[in-house]
Amino acid sequence: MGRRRTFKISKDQRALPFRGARAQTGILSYATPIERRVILVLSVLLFSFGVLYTYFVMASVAHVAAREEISRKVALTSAEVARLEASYLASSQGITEAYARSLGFVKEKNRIFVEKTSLTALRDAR
Amino acid sequence: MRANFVFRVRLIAFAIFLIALVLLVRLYFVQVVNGDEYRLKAESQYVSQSVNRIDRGTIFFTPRRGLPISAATVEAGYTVSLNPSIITNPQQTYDVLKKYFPELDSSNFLAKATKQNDTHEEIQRKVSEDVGKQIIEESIPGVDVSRERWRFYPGGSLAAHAIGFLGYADDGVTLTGRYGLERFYNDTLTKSDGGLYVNFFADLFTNIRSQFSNGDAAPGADLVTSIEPSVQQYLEGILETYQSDWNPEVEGAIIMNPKTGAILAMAARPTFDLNNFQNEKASSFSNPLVEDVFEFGSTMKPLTMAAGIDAGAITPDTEYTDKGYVIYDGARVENYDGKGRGRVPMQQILSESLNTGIAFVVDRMGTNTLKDYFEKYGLTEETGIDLPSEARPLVSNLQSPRKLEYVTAGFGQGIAVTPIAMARALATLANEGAVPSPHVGVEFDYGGGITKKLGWSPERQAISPQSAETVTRMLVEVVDKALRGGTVKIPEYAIAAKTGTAQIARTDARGYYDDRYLHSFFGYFPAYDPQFLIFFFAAEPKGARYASETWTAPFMEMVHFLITYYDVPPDRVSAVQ
Repeated sequence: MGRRRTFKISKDQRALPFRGARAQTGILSYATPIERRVILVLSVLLFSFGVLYTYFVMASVAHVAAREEISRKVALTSAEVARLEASYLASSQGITEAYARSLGFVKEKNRIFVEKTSLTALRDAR
Repeated sequence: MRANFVFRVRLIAFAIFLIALVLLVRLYFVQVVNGDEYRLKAESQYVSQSVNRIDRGTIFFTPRRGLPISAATVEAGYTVSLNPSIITNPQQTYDVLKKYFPELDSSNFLAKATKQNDTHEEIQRKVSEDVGKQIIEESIPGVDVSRERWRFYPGGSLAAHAIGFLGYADDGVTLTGRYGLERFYNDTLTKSDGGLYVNFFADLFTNIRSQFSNGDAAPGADLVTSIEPSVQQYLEGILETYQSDWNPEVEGAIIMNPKTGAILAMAARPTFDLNNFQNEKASSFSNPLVEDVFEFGSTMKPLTMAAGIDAGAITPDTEYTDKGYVIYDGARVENYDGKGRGRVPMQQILSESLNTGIAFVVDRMGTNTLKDYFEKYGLTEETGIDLPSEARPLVSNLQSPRKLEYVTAGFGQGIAVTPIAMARALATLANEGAVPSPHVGVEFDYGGGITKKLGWSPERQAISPQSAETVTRMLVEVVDKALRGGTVKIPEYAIAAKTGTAQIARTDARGYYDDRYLHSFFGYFPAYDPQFLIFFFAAEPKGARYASETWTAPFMEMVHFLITYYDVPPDRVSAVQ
């Protein structure tokens, strides 16, 4: 086992842009700490947006498909209601005075109107 | 090294900027410069779908009780078509389809089914759900059954002129509202993505646009109207009876709430079936209550009387001497019977419909005053009702330097207005002197509980409430004592009414026909707190000279119906028995 050799780092060497034992490579090796943080944040944002975009597009597809199906059901129900309404309006045209008479209804000649006497009116009467 | 890095970053940024710039320029050309062309190209791909899959807001009637009832809605079913290229046995195919469509013409069908190099021939549209499903189950080779939606009017001819219908636009392929409310509210009833094949990206962006659209008439709404279906039905029944009794060329009626201007019923004849209008005359589609003008005759007299009273020119106690005629600017104006009645009060002018009396009132108040009041009543302008193609009134006689034209205008001759304008002006008498805004639409319903009430122009005070009440009192006396000799009055209800018989202007020369008349009738009740104003008119009824002969019975029948249907309480205690 040989004796471990030590090196002294001069003041000028310390001024060089080498930090730590492992030298960085690639685009980040030239970035300042602020730039590194910005790139990190942007990367996270990019990834998040990518995930969200995929999710929303999938959700939109599902919603559009569901909406189309519901819209079809609404149209069918609405059409059925329209047919019933047509039948109702046609039937109601048959309810006439002549029809009522045929069922035995007669016009009441001795009409009686009832007037509600209010407390105010009673007070005024005294 | 660092300088090299910065250079590369700038280079990339510049490249990105350049690409963005190119995209922007391209977008500008696509959307702005050539936008219309591309839009047309895109829409043309959807033509077949949009015709077959109409999507449109519903128009509703508002019954007195219960939920709204559709006046115009969308019906769903199928279109049956052929693909001749894969039909193996045309005769057998015909035999199967004949079961479902008894009116299917053999030669026509076989001609379509045997076409060479053809893949699509329409056989039947608007096929019901049940029949469509049965044909699908038959699995006939070469027979396609595709979904279809179309406009459907459950009431058939009910309120046809007010509702209107859809027709092809000028481009010949787009369905759009052509008449009535369908036309007036077309933009609101139209659903922007209606009928288009659903492409989810296109749909996504279409929806985004609709979310941001903001305006008075955001598309895709249902329209709730003030038309009451039972009242409308009853009114149309009355007009039908009148048609068979008196055979007029044109007739119409309006029932309005004079306090709000809401139209409860609006009917005209000749009419048509909204679901089968293809074989009807186009002239019957227009709404004579809004699109035509008429000289209404003596129903104008209460308005002239009210103007005279409001201007302070006369009072109900004022009297004049009736010689049976008066002469203005060399022309002789006579009573309907040419007879003079001596010294008579103002009430008699309305009770006996005296033209000389109206001449006296106009004389007293002055021509300019009459003109001012007619303007306040809204007789010289359109009403602004929410129905299309409202006609302008013909009131140039009110610019005349001669008194004669004002006198004749005072009893409803020489000026022509629409029935709706006349009904609105008469509603002033029932509405404490204020002119209401007639309207059919009440609110838009966007679904999910989101509604938007429609607003109308504020009322304009034409005469004072006191003047309106004075004339109302006079009109009640007309019904109680003069109309059919007072035999049609209802002791427990005060009803104000007046008849009108007008000569009809010649179309081939100046002057009037001697044997053609226009009968009009209006009334409102309960007279001192009116809920209903009824206006009738008929052009050229046969077999009767005066409106009192033809319209009194229908009017009273309508009054009795409304009293019963709306449970209107009595407003007097048999005071005139």
